[in-house]
Amino acid sequence: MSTKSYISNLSAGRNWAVIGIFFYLFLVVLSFILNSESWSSDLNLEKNYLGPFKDGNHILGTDGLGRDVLAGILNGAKISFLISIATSFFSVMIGLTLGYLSGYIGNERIKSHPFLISIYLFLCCLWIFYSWSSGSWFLFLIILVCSIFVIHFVSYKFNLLKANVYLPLDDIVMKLIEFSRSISGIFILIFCLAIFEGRSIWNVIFVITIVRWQSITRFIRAELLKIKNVEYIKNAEALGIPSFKILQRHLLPNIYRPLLTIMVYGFAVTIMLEATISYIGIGLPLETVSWGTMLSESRSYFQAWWLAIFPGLMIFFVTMSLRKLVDTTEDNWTYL
Amino acid sequence: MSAFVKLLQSILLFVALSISIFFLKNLLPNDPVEQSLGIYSENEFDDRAYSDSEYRKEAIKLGLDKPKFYFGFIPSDWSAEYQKLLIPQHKKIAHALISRGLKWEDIDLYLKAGQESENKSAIMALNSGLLQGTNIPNNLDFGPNYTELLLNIYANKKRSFYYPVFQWHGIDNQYHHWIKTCIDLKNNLSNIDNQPAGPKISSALKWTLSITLPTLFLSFFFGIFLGFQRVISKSKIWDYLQNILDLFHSLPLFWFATLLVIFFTTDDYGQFTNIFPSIHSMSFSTGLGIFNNLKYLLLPILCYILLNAGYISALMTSSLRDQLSKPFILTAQLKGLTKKQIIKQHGLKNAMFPIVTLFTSAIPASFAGSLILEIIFNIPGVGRLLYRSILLADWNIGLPVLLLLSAITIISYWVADIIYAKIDPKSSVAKA
Amino acid sequence: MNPLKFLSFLLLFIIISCSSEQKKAKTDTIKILLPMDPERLNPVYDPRSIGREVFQYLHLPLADYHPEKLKLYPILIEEIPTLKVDEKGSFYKLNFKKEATWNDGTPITTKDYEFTIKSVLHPETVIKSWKPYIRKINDLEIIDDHSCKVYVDDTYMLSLEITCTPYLLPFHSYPKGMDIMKLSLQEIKELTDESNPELAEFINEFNDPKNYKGSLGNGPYTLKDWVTDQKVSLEKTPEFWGAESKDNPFLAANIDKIEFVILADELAAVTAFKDGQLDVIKGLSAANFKQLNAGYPEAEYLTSPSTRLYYLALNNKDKLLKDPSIRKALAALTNVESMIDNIEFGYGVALTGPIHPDQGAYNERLSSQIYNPEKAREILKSAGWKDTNSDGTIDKMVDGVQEELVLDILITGSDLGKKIALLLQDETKKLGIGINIVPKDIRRMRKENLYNYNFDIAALAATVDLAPIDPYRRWHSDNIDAKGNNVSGYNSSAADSLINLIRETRNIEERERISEEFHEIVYNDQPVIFLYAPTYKVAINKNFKGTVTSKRPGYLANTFKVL
Repeated sequence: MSTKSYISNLSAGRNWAVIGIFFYLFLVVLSFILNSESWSSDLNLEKNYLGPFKDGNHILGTDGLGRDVLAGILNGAKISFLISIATSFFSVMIGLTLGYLSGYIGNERIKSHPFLISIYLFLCCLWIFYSWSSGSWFLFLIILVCSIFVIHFVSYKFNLLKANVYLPLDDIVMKLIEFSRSISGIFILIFCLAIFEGRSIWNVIFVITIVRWQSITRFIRAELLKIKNVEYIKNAEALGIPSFKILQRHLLPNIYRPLLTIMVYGFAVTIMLEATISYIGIGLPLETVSWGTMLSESRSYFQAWWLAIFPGLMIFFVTMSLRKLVDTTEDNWTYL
Repeated sequence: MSAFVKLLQSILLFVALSISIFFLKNLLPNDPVEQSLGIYSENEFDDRAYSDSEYRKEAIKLGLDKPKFYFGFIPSDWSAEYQKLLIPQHKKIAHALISRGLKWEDIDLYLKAGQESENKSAIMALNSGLLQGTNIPNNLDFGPNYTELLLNIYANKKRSFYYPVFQWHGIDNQYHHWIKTCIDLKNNLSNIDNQPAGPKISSALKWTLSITLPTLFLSFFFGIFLGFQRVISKSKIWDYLQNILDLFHSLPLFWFATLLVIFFTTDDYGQFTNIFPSIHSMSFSTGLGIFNNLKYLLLPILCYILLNAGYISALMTSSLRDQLSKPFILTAQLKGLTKKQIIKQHGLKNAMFPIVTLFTSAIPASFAGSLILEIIFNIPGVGRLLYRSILLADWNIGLPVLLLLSAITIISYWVADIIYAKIDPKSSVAKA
Repeated sequence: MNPLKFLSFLLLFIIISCSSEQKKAKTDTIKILLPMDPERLNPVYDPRSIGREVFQYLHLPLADYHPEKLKLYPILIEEIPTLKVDEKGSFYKLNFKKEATWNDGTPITTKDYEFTIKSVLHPETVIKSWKPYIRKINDLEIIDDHSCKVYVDDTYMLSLEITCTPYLLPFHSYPKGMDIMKLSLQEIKELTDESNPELAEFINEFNDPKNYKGSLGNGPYTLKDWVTDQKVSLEKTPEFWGAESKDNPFLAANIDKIEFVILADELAAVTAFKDGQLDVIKGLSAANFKQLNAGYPEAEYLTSPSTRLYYLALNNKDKLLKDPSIRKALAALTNVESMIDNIEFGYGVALTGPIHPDQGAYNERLSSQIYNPEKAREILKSAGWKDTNSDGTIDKMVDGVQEELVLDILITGSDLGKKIALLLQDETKKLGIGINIVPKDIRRMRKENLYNYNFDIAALAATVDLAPIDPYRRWHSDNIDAKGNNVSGYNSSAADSLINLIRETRNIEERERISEEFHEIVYNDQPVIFLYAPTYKVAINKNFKGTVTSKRPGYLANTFKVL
C-alpha cells in the first residue's frame, strides 16, 4: 500500500493526532531555535514558585529555583525527542540485526565445524580474562576480532575443516531474549539506579534501549519468519542472488510498514519511560530540565500545581497523538 | 519440548541469574563489612574511625577471605597473597601497581610502608596519584629502606606476559555460602533487622498479590467485555467509552496516581471529593474484617485498571474484527448460524490468541507497575521490599524475592504455552 | 455471569467499603510520623538518631540535657556530680536513685552500670561506637548498690558527659554476665584482640543479634508492637517508678499510647495529617510546612532552633583551593540569605562559622553579610585570574601549568543538595568559574573522595551536640588523615593552639571567650563555606498541646498533654 493511500485511510479521529504530532515537532524546532537548554537552566531564586500568568516574563510560572516552566516544556520536548530518536535508532538496529539472524537465517543456515566454534569460544573467554585483569579491553577486542578473521580465512582458504554442523542462531537469540525478559524490569532499573554515577543523556538512552530491544527483536523476527518461506524469496535464493540484495530488495520493503508502526508506538512508550526514569532520578544531568524532572520536582511542593499539570499534559498529549496515529482498529472490515 | 527439559532450562536460568547477581552486587556502593561494623553515615562523618585490623577481623568473620567462586582463572603473576588483601583500598593499589610492572614482593613492601605513620602524607599523595592514573609527585622519600621500591614505581615498566591459571577452590567459597544462607528461608534472617525472611516475604507477597490479581482480572475482564461489545453492538456508547479509556492509557502512572491521592483522599478540595480513604496501611491480620483492609487498595486498583483497560479492549476489538473478516465467517453466516453462535463457536477462540500473549506478559509487568503504586500509596508489598533490600544490600531477602519474580515470569510463560495448546491444537507448541 | 450484574455488584462493593472516615478524637493515642523504620531500638547497641526518636521513651540514661534548660539534668541519679579528688585521682561520685527500677520490677543498681561499662570496653563485644569514649574512664569503684566512684582524666573536657550520659544494660538479663564482672576495668582495657576462652560464652550471648532489636527498658513506655516498615506502638509502663515525679520531663507519661507511623513519602504524610491519621509531623520540607501552616488551621505549628548545620566543604589541600582568596571568593558567591528565604521559606539562620548563633561562644561581631559578587570579582581579578584563552572560564598559571578554574561539587542527590549546587553553578558562571555537579552516594563519596582528600567541593551536613563545643575533631590538623574528621584538611597553627587551649580550660566564660577568637580565625581563613542551620519544624494536631526543644529530635512526646 502506498503512503498516500495509507494516509487517506486515516479516520477522522486521526486528524487530531496529526495536528498533535505537528505541534510537538513545532515545539522541538522552537526549542532548537530559542536555545531552550540555556533558557531552561536560567535560574533566579528570588522569583521561585510563581504561578502562571502572574509575571510577565514567566507565562507558565516558575519552579522551585525560579526556572521558567515554558522553557522547561520546550527543553523537555527537545530531550524527549532526542532520546526517543536515539533509542528507536539503536533498538531498531539491534532488532534488525538479531531479528535477521534469528528469523531469516535461523537455525539451519550457517555452518561451521565444531572445532572451529570451540576455538572461537575459547578466544572469547581469553578476551574476557585479559580485559578483566588488565583493563584495556579495547586493545584486546581488536586482537580478538583479527584472530577470528585470520583463523576463518585460513580454514576457508585451505579447506582445512569441513563445515558440517549448523549453528543454531535462532535458539541462541531466543534464549537471550528469554533470559533478559525474566530479569524483571525492576531489577534492571534498581541496579542502574545504584550503579550509574556519571550523569549524561546516554545513560537514559542505554537504560531504555535495554528495556525495549526485546520486543522489537521478537517482532521483527516474527515478521521475517512469516515471509521467509514465501515463494519469490525462495526463488531469489535459488537463483543465487546474494543475500544482501534479497535483504534490500525484498525483505525490507515488506517489513517497513509494521516496523514504522512499532517505531511510532515505541516513540510514545519511550517518552513515557523517559519521564518515569527522570522521575526516579536516574541519568539526566542535574542542570537538564525535562518533563520527568519537572514532575519529580512537583512532588516536593504540590501546592505548585502548574509544575505538575503542564508537563503531565504535554506527555499525555504527545503520547496520545502518537498512539492514535498508528491505531489500526478502524481499519478492519467485517462480515458481520 | 517436554516438560522435563523446560524444567531443566528454568533451573539453569535460576542458577545463571543467581551467579550474575552475585557478581553484580559488588558494584553497589554498599560495603558489607562497614555495614556489619555498624558504620552508618548520615551526611557527615561517623563518630568513630575504625582501624584496618578491625576491618580485617570483621571481613574474616563475614567470610570475605574465602575465594569467590568454585573455580577461578588467575593471572600467573598474582600470588596467593592477593586473596588475603581484604581492605578495598589495598586491592586497588595492588591493581595499579601490578599494571606498572611491579612484582609481588614490592607490592607487599609498599603496603607495609603505608602502615608506618611517618610516611602518611607521602603515601597518601602517592596513592591518590596511583588510583587516579594522574602523575605521581616525583620527589617523595620514604626513607632508606624503600628507595628501591620507589625506583621501581617510578620506572613504570610494562607488565610482563602472563597467562591464565586455573584454580579449583572447592565448596568453601563465598558464592556457595551466600546461596546456602539466602535459599534457606526458614532460618534465613534479614541482615537489617534480623527478622526471618520467610514471613516478611510472604506478607509482602500477600499485599502485592491483593493488588495485582484483582487488577489483572478486572482489567482483562473489562477490556474483553468492552472490546466484545464494540464489535457486537450497534450503539455508540462503547466507542465513547473506548475513547475515554484511550485517553487514560496515555497518562503516566505515577502522575495520575499522585493526582488521585491529592484530590480524592482529603477534604482539601471540598467535602464531596473525600471519597477514598487516605493512605495509611494496616497489617493484614489486624483490622476489622476484610473490607476494612481492602478499602485501602481500591484507589491503586482503580488507578491501574483505568490506565490499562483501554489497551486491552483495543486489542480485543482489533483481533476479533480480524477474525470476523476471514472468509470462513461468511461461510458460517451462509450456513445460517446466528451472530451469537458464530462468534461463540468460531470467532472468540482465535481472537483470544493475542489476548493470552498480553496476559502472560502483563503478569510480570504488573509487578513492576506495583512498585510505583506501592511507593505512592504506601502499601508494604514486594516491590518496596525488593527496592529497600537492594539499596541496603540485604541479599538474604533480595535474592529470594528476585528469584521469586523470575519464577513467576517463567511460570506465566508456561501457562501461556499450555493455553495456546488448548486453544489452537494446530499451533506448533502443541506439536512438540 | 452477566457482565452487567457483575458490574453492579462491584459498584455496591466499592460504595460499602468506601465509607468516609470519622476523625474521631482518640485521645488516648498520639500518632507520630517516622520517616523510616528504626531497625534497632537498643540505645547501647545502636545509638543512631532515627532509633533515638523512639527509644528515648523506652530507655533512660543516667542523665541527659534538659529540653528547655539545655544543661545536664539527672534522671537515674540523684544529682549531677561535681569533680572531686582523692588519693587515686579525680573522680565523680554517682548516687543512683533508690526508687529507679527496670520495667520488670528489678531495681537499677550500680551493678548495671558496671556491667554496661565493662561490656562496652571489651574488644569483642559488638558495641563499637562508644568504645573510644568509655576508654577515657580510668577506673570504677563500687561503694554499694546505689553509689559508686568513677575515676576520670580531669584534663578531658567531656569527662562529665561520658560518665553521666550512658544508657544502661540490664545486668540480670544476661545470665553469663557474671563472667565479665570478675575482671577489673584495667584488665579489660588490656585485653588484646585474641579471644579469651573463659569469656567466649558471654561474648556469644552478648553479641546475639536479637539483642539489637530491643531489650528490657526502664522508661515511662514499653514496646507493645512493632511491624517492620509500618508502625511501632508504645504503651505506658504499668507501675512506672517515676510516675510520681512532676518536674522531670523525661519521666512524664501524659498520654497512654504512642504510635509511630512509618511513612517514607512526604505527600502521604501530609495527606494523612490532614485526614487526622497523624498527630505529629516533624521534619517536613519547608515548602510543605509553610503550606500546611497556611492552609490547615486545625494544628499548631512550632519551630525551634536545631543543631544541624549545612556547609560546603572545600578541599584545602587542592592546588587551586589552598589559596584562601579563592575560597573567600567562592564564599562571596553563595547568597545564603536568599537560600533561607526562598528554599527554606525563612526557617533557618545563617552561619558564619562552626558555632551555632544560639551557642554562647558565638562571636556576634563577625558580619554575616558574606554574599558580595562584586567583591568576588575583585578578589579574582587581583589574584590574577583572567580568561586568556576565551573559552568561557578564567585561568591562571599555577606552578608553571595553566589551570582553568573549574571545580567539581559532590552532592548526595537530596533535593536540597541539588538546589544549592545549581545555585552555586549559576552564580559562578557569571564570573567565569565552571562548576560540575557530581551526584554520588554518600558511602561512595566518603570512601572514594572524602577519605583521600580527592575532591574540590562537597555539600555536607553536620550535627552539633548540645555538649560544650570541642572543635578538635573537625578543625585540628591532627585529624587530617584518612577517616579523620577534618573534612577540609584545615591546617592552621593559630587555630590548633586555640583548640588545645579550649580543651584544657575548665572555666566556662574563659572557654567561650577563646572560642570566639577561634571563630574569628576560622571566619578569616574560610576553610569551608558555611551555609545555614535550619530550624526544627513540628506540626501538632490541636487535640494535643506540645512543646518543641532544640534537643534532638525536637520534641518530647511524653510531655504532650491531651486537650
